[in-house]
Amino acid sequence: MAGPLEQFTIHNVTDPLFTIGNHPIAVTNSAIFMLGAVAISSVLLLAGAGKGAMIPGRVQALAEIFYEFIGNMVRDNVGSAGRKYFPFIFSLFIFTLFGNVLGLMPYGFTFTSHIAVTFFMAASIFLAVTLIGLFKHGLRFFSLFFPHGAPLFTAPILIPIELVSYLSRPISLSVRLFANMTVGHVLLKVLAGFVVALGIFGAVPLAVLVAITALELLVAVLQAYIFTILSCIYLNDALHLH
Amino acid sequence: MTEDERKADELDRRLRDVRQAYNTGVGKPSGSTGGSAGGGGEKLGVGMRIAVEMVAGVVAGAFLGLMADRWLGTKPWLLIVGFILGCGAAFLNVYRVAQAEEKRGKAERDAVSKK
Amino acid sequence: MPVSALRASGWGAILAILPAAARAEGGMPQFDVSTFPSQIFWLVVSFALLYVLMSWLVLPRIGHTIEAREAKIQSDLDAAQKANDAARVAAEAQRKALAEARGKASATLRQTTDAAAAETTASLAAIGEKLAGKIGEAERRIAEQRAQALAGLSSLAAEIAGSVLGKLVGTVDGTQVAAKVAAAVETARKGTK
Repeated sequence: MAGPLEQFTIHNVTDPLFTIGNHPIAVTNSAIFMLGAVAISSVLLLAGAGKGAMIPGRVQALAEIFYEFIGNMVRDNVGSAGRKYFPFIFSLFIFTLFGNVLGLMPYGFTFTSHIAVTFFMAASIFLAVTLIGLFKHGLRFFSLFFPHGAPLFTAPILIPIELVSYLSRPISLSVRLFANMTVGHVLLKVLAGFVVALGIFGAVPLAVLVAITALELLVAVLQAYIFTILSCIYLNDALHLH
Repeated sequence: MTEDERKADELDRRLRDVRQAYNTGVGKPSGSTGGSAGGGGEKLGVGMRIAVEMVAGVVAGAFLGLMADRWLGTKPWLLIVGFILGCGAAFLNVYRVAQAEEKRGKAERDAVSKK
Repeated sequence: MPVSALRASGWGAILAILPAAARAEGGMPQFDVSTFPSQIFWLVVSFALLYVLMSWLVLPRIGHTIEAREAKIQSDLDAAQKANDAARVAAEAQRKALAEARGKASATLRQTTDAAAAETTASLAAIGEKLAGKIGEAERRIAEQRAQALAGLSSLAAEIAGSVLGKLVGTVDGTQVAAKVAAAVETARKGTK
């Protein structure tokens, strides 16, 4: 039986299609699930958005719940200045949510359990948000690194700490998602191993497995939510400099 | 009071209720409170956040120190400084998460006690 | 320092700190750096695709639908409010009209009653007057007849008295007798009265 980390292995499904700066790019299982998440969510949401009925059906209601959910999140956490970024935040949530949940399906692969993906996302958001803040506020943006009303002599200590704290954002953002997804899947895999190994006595771990799977589904949704809302909060910090 | 007037008053009241519910967003599908996940999962999420914040701060500090060391050739001093700053940042981050949670919990309790 | 080099050495640093234990046990596939370019490439491609689909197709439509629904609900609520207000006004007008009609009716009734009463009184008065006239005439006639009768009576009495006297005493002065009889009749009438 494969080890609990085996499920995270990325393998090529096709031969490399082309190279980008010496790096061969092939279609991988990760790529299939990324594109699959995009395809499934787009089909679902397009179906939901398509009719635009006054009294929504199920799919439309689902699409509208997503819309209102993220719309409220952006409005509550960023304010009216965040409207511009709503499509991005919405896509971010849908992408992470479907990535997380698809990975829980049997034979699924969770691309959000890879630090390369989560860190690239977090770092891009971080960079973009920082640039937005710099463009909007110029040098005043750096007031973010010194708390209001703190005594001036604490600046030499506080500013580096705040700077490190600020720079730790993409790390915490990406590591949180990556670690949650990885730990959950490892746990499930180990428990599944118990079920198989114990045979008839595997009923108890099986029950636990079912419970953990339910919990993992919750975590998958919750982590997508947290990833998105923290992006909103960072965006709000950059736009409004608290 | 005539039957018609009573009916009109009744309709007035219902209209007012609907409008109020509509404007305050009670009747709307909304997830702005963030209560989409159950209490247990949320607590788990908060615990996880705090754990991750602690690690992330230290990692960020140490990484910056390491990079600066490589750049300036001052191994290992800036790594140590970075590590210490990272610890400070981690504490700050954890403090902020806890504070935000405290505030949110308070707001939730207020909302519950108001109802 | 170029970004890619920074990133590469950044990965190195993270790898050095985080998963040393995991790598010792055969390695976590997540830290296989050789897969990173491909992952990031597909991430960018698929996310860009999703973003384009969402921001061009899905979100405007959903937003439009929700706005249309809100507008519809608001206008329906407004219409209901307006209709209710109109109904209220109409009910008020109706009540007022009813009260007015009722007032008018009672006024008319009173007026009619008064007129009828006045007419009755007038006709009664006219009848009374007529009757009084008739009664007066009748009385006058009776008095006349009585006076006539009385006058006749006194001349008859004088005649009777003259003839009686003529039989008793012979000739009599007619006029003297008549005067005396008239005086006697007068006193008798006074006495009977």
